[in-house]
Amino acid sequence: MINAQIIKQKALEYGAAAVGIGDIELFNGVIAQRDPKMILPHAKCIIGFLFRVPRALYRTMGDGNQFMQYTSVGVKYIDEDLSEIFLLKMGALIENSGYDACLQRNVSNLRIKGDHTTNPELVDTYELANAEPVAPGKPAPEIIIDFNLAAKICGLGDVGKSGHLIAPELGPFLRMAFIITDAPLECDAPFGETLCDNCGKCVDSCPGHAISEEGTDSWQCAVYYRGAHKSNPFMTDDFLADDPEREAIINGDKRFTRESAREIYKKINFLPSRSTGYIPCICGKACDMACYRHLKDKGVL
Amino acid sequence: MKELKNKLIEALKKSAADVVCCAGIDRISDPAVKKLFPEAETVICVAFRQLRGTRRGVEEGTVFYQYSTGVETLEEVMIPGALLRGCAVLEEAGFEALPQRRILLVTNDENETNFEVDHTEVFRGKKEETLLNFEQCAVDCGLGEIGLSGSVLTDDFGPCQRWGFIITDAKLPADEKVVPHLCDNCKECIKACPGHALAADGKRDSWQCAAYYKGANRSCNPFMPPDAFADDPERLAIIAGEADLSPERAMEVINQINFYPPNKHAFVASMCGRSCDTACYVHLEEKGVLKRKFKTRFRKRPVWKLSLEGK
Repeated sequence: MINAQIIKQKALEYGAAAVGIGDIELFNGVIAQRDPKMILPHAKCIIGFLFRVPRALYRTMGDGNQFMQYTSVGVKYIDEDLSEIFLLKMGALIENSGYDACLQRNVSNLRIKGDHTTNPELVDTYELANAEPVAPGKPAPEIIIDFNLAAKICGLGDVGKSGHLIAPELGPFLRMAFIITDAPLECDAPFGETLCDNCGKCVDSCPGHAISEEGTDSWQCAVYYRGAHKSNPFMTDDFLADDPEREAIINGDKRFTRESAREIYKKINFLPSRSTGYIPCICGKACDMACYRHLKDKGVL
Repeated sequence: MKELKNKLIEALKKSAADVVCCAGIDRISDPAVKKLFPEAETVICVAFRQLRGTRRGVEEGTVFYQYSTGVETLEEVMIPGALLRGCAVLEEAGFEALPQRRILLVTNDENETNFEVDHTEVFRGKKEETLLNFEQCAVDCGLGEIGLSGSVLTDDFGPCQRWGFIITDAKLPADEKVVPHLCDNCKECIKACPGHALAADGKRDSWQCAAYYKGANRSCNPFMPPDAFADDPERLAIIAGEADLSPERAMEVINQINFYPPNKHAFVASMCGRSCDTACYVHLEEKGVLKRKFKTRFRKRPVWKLSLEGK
């Protein structure tokens, strides 16, 4: 019979860096389009998995030496291949005991109806603006659970000021996946207080000034994630040469909206992205790097 | 450190790696390694066999689709997965670990291409993106030797393997460097190329190779229609593999080869099935110098060849 111990042991064996199990009832109160019980109505718990992104991948970006490896190995591969293969193995383990296992990989390129944010890691994201419920009492599809909340409920970590999850062992260098199940597993306590001490290092480090007291502006982030800032080593003098706002843009001073961000995307094309749909990260995830350094210096990781 | 190395090898082999070998930084001649990781102490090469069976379809002229399993699947799935596993072992032990897979869509050189991927997807001349010299680093790590065509040859698999690296500040015991002994300069690789992309000294013309890897030679492309290149004044030379293609002409030729769907991740389907490496493998097998023996020889009948004029 499956139990929490077997799940955790197998998850680590199959490649997760950390695993936690959360009580599904702790999602009570979330909007229906984020509610895992709208995916599996008789769910009892949610199992959260963290995958490690090697620290050295951030360092080579920070040094300005290499950018493709992080996106290829640390983002695209983990989300598109590793987590799927992993979830299929874990799901089979649960199904073998007669329980349902609804796999939740990172839904990178979709946004629920009404969510106007974007994912900077993708060429673009698609808001399901025309979705309608298939029956009374059901929310409009697609249900996309809040990964950060789910990770907190599973006891794995909590978000920092930048909106990125911070875990005790990995800091912000991680990716996530989940399984919603009706297996009656022993649940972990939700994560306590966030490791973020509001130091503001993430705010200061962003070349696009995308992080503020209100959190991260995803469209502003997306423009600079793909390299609109002057510290981008691939940038030449002809970048936006005819744009009267060039200086403001490359200094990170211009504010972008959804529309203006999508407009400037067409002019930011420093490294290949078309074949995978993933944008090479040219800001070097400066926010996460600054966060990691701060937490490491504090000795809390 | 020997214990850590054994643990690392165990994890990598569980991820289906066939060969794991490493070298201390003093033996690594590629300056890119130090540029990426100034404190590096060891480079670990993680190699996967290209199953001999993935070449069978091209050898028989009956299946061309499955060849990509030995290219795209290894590069995009198997190698990144193993590298992350290996990095996790090293990070858990308190060391830094930098994975390095092949990045085929970026070149440092303005004039080169990578024949395995769609040339329109390649970002050329990106000197700011540090890329390892995969062949040299593999040799330095002790994986094998470089053959005449530039392919790395190993005792186990001949030229049929792909690999990635982990660069780390852990000082792991090094493996022996291989003394070159496999390539006997037989030139079978040069003779086998349907596009004469390898010069007499084995130097590869990447654009010429790209055109014929994708199938510009009619005699080894069963999907080419009779009217292919009909408006090209060099038609006969192109489909006979005798055209000397500049990069610009190679692009024009490649853009007209649309007789077979591409693979994912910008990888193109190969019609030659990397015949240079296949010929090398056949030669090494015939000489009996490969360690891994099969019940039957790979080449069972003469290489097939279509008429240039088609059906």
